[in-house]
Amino acid sequence: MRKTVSTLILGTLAVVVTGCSGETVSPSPTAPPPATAAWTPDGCRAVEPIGAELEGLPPVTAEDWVIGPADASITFIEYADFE
Amino acid sequence: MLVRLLDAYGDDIQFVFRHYLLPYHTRAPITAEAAEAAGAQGAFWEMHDVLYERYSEWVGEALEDMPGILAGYAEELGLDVEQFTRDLEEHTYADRPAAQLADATAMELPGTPTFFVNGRMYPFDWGLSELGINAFIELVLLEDSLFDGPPSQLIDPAQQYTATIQTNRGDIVIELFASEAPLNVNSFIFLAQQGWYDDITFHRVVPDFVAQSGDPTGTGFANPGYQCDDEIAPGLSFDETGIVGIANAGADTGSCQFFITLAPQPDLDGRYTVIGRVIEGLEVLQSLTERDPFDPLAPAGDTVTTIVIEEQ
Repeated sequence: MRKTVSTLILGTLAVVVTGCSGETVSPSPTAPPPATAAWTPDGCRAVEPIGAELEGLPPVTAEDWVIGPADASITFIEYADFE
Repeated sequence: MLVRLLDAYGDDIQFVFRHYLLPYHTRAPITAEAAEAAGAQGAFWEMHDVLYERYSEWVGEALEDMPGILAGYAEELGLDVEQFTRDLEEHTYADRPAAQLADATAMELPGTPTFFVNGRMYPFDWGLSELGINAFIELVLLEDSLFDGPPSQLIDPAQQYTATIQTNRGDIVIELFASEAPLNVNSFIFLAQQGWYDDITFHRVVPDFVAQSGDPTGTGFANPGYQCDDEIAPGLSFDETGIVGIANAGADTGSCQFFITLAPQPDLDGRYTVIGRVIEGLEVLQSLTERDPFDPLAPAGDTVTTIVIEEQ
């Protein structure tokens, strides 16, 4: 199993756990190196924060069932049923 | 899991429950109404907890037996059972579950449970993992610290730069390879100067492999709001102890997280950008506390106090 030094991304949690736990090392394919390492302003780019924002999510109101202070820094909403 | 979440964040979290009745969960409507009917008597959360804690007790029962089972729970909770039963029979409190189901359906929520943290939806495909939920909360909390995009050019790739990683165990001094990896060294220097690396942990330390840091959340998930291409320089290799690389989640996704080899790791060549090598403090590097970020009992880990950049 090939070792990795990963930053974790959406959907890769289980894969990375597996990848990190292996103790054996196998040869890795190596991409041909770029001809130069010159500065390119397009070489870095913005990425969106993780987690979609849905327009239809109603704000928390007095009608909601809530535990915890209204001024908490984290508002955790669960949509679920009991079954 | 919810209890541990509430315990962990204390007054920093408010938890909101909303109904999302899946159509093939035949007992979902009556249990939702039971929670609402209990809520009308001041015991929504008590009924909420009972329904989850004793799920296996009622989930296999026939639908026609559910009112009796739920009335039994109401009695255990000290509620007015006659009122509770009447509310179930007359569907007195069906409106809120129906309205919230309509909201959830309109949003096309992927399933139950679906979580939102400060308005951002937890990635459903991460699964019901406490580790994942905690990581997601930390990422959302980090959002205000993210940059709108990559830094402009701060460095002269022809110059020599060193970075001193100050840790609770001593200093680790790194010679940076600005000419070989200008994008990634520029990013590293930018983040160091912005204080991104101040007071964070070596969140992953695997003996004889690498020590990894650079993530203020300590989860291994964070980026600073941008990512950079890999810069695989010919002639640079991870074949020694003390080689510094940029971690990634696949080609051209590296950003703030960096690692330092604790033993030769030539297997990493070609997949990760080398940005430097340790020139002082290898003994500090080797003394870092072993840590697996996936272990819920992992120690706090050693701390990067700050990273100081010097141009030679």
